[in-house]
Amino acid sequence: MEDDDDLAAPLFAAIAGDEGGFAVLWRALHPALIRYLRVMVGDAAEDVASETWLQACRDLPRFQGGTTAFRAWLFRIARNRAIDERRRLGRRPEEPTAAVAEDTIGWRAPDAASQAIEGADTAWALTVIASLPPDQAEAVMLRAVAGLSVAACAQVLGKRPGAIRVATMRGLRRLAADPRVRARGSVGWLPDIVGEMRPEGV
Amino acid sequence: MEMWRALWYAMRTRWIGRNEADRLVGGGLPGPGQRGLGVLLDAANAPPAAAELAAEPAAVAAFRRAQSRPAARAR
Repeated sequence: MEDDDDLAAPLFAAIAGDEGGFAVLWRALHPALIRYLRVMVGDAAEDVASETWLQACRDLPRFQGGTTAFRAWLFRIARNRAIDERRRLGRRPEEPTAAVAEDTIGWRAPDAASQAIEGADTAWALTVIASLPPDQAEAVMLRAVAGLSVAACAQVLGKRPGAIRVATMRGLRRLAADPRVRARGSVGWLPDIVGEMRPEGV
Repeated sequence: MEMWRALWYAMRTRWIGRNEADRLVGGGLPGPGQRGLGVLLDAANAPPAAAELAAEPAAVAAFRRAQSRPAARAR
């Protein structure tokens, strides 16, 4: 993840209409954006990311602020688009698997092709994070992957900073206790007393 | 035995408070009971795969089109 300081010049160049500046911004922020959207809308992430960048391109001339504000602005657009997408999927009765349960945020496991493309470890991590309660999954993704500050995250999610910190903390606790995560952490380090907890074959 | 496992992990993970959470999401090293969590966060933050950057030409083309619109030219 690039520092916001490194993106200041490309941001101002992009606002002024410079294609190279925009390309630098896109390369720096798109990976985190697409991963956030994979947790939000699963396989629709590519489409939603495209819509997000289209809107960003259109509105960029009116954007005012620095790189930290831009990061929050971009992820707020993405979140609004993702919510629209989930509503749209929820309105399609012919596709029952697209219905979004109230206690999830619309995650569908990535197909084999996308896992192979994306990198198995990253796909695994996103799958596990997506299994968290929605507010915790979003807080973890925006804080840990998108690199947003507590204040920026609160702005994107429309919540108080304290609520963001609590959601992040609870999400991390839940992830740390997840058997899939524990199994990944157990390889080669756990003391003998818990050696039997290692998955078979590890 | 399940109860002991649950207790052991609860003890190992209970100290993830707000400050610890801030530290971890900022890239801080995980504690001894959080190695799996560290692996997960590292994986979620792994450098981008080539496929994740494949749409760059299309994105730049969209930017170019947006710039050619009258509203953009007028600024």
